[in-house]
This record gives sequence, structure tokens and C-alpha cells, in this order.
Amino acid sequence: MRDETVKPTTAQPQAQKRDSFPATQRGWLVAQLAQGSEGLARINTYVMQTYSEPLGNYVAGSSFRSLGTSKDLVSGFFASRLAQPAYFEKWIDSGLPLRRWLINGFLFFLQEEARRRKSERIDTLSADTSVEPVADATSAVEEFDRVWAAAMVRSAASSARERCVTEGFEPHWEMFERHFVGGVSYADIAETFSVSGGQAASMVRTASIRFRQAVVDLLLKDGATEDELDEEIARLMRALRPT
Amino acid sequence: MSDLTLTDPTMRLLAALTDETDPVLVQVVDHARRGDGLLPSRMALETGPLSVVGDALELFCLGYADREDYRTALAACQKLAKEGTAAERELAATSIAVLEASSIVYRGMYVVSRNSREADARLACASTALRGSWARLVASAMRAGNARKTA
Repeated sequence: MRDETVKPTTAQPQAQKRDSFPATQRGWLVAQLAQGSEGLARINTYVMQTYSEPLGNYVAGSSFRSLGTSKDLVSGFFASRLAQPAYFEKWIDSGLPLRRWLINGFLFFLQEEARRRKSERIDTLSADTSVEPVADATSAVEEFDRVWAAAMVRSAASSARERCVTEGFEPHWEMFERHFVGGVSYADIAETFSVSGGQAASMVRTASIRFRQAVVDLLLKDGATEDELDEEIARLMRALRPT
Repeated sequence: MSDLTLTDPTMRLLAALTDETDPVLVQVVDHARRGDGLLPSRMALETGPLSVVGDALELFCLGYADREDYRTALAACQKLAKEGTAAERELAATSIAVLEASSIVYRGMYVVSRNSREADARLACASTALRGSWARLVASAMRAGNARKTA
């Protein structure tokens, strides 16, 4: 396992100008690790559910896409890494956010795959031409941060919506979406839903609190601490800002 | 790899994580949601910073205030917002929103908001704390803002 040797992503001062997320090593995953194999199984499930889409989106838009389908590559990466018993202990030791740890590992995995396939194709006597970097790791990490952040926000919105529905706040969520995503004013929402402006603001607030909580839950699982949440949210917005 | 169709709504969702109006007004909304009885009372509104220029109800709710009245009342609200206790800051933020509503209804102009979206959020949030004639004033301002936008 040499994932940690992908140099440009390991807290170089140069990279930290646009280093989208700080290094932390606490949170939900750490607590799960302490629970042994059951906790590890929960982590694996969570990691696959949460990070498959951003990893897949990343590879689909990168020069590695010629290696295979994004689904196969992500599955291969998870199969090779998550089976290692100490994979997440190493993550803790790294001090990196989980997503950074995973993209480092994924880049390394992809490079391994590229080398392996190349060596399968060419004569082993000319193996000295078979190893080359296939991606700039710093820009890859930035790109992955962007797709991760977008996937995370969508995931948070989805779970907040489900929670609102479960709690009987479906209209609140609908108002929230109309206001924040559709840009509809409270005045218009009040008219559409036959409520007062104050009720509209209050109902939207009910949904926005659940959305914020869903985002916070995901950030905590990624290794952020409570103290870092506001800054993490600001980083999310920077990561997603169109360039 | 840019996916603007996903990124744009995502950015808009992220905007929901920040306060779209005065954060003190957001606290007022939360008091209203919880029903904890900590909302600024009508008496506090009518005897607070809006009353430095006279009868707040007559001036700002019924529309007899002149430009100088708005200016003086706003200064009193801002002073309270800066120096007051937590409850007084909430009263100040609500009073500023009431001034905004009054100014929209009677003068067709904003006092503090920079655009219609900000005014809409300010008025809607403040109205969670208001009842009776003050609530009607804010509702009128919201309708007026809406009418201007669609005209």
C-alpha cells in the first residue's frame, strides 16, 4: 500500500491556497472504527454509498476514463482498498479528510491500473517506458473536491427531503426548494400556499434547518470537527463556485 | 467536467446554509417556531426605538412619518442593534423591518435592503413576530414588492 506517496496532495503549502478541505481525523468514522468489525462494515457501506458517485464522476471526466467504465474502476478500487483491514487506521494516521484520503488512493489505484495494462500490452523488455504520471494530482484533488461537494450537497438535500416527508413537513420542503432553488419570493410562496409571509418564512426555516443538519452530519462523517463546520461550509461554497 | 445543470441548483442549495437576511431576524423566526414567548411584544415595538420620533403606530403604520422621521428612527434602531442586549437586538432588527415595510408601502423605497430579494426575506422573517396592524403593514409591503416585481 503506497497510497500515501502521492506527493502533491499531502499538505504542501503551495497546494493549500486552493486546498479545499482541512486535515482532520475525528468524527463518526473514527467512532465506528472503535467498534470493530461491525463498525468497519458500516464504514464500508457508508463509503461506497457516499463516495462512489463523486469518484465515478471524477474518473469519467479524467484522462483515466480510457481504462474502463467509471463504475468498474470505482468498484475495483473499493475492492482492493476496503478489504485491507488497516485501510482506515492509515487514514486516521494520515490526518487527511476522508475524501482526500480516498482520492489519493484512487489516483494511485488508477495509475497502477494504467501501468498494469500497459505492461500487459508491451514487451517486458521495454518496461522502462511503461511508467508515467497520468494526472496532475493537485488539479485532480481540486476537481474531486468539486464533484464530491456537489454530490454531498445533493445527498444532504435528499436526506433532508426524506426527513421532512417523514415528519409531515413535505410542504415545508417544497417551499424551501421553491425559495432557494427556484428563487421564488416568500411573498409568492405565501400566495401559492395560502399562508402568511411569516408562516412561509417559518416553514422554509423548518426545512432549511433539516438541510443544514444533513450537511453537518455528512461533514462530520467525512472527518470534520464541530469547530470546523462553518469553515467547511465556506470551503464547500468555494469548491463549487464556478471558475 | 463542469456540470452546470447540477452545479447551479447545488450552489443555490448551499445558499440556504447561510443567513439570507439579518441573522438576528433568523433568531426571531426561531423564537416564533418554538413558541418560546421570547418574541418582541407589540408594546415593546411601539415604545422602542421607533417611538423616538413620536407615536410609532401613527407615524409608521398609518403613514404620517416624513423622511426625517424615518432617518431618526432608523438611527435609533441601529444604535440599539449595536449596543443592546440580545432581546433588544431582536427588537431592533424587527423594528428596522417594520420601518422597511412602512417605507415600501408609503414611500415606495427601501430603507436598508439592497434589493427586492433581501427585502422579501427581511419582511417575511420579521412578520413571524408581528400581529395585528403591524403584521398587516408588513403583508402589504410584501404584496407591494411582489406587485412591483410583476408589473
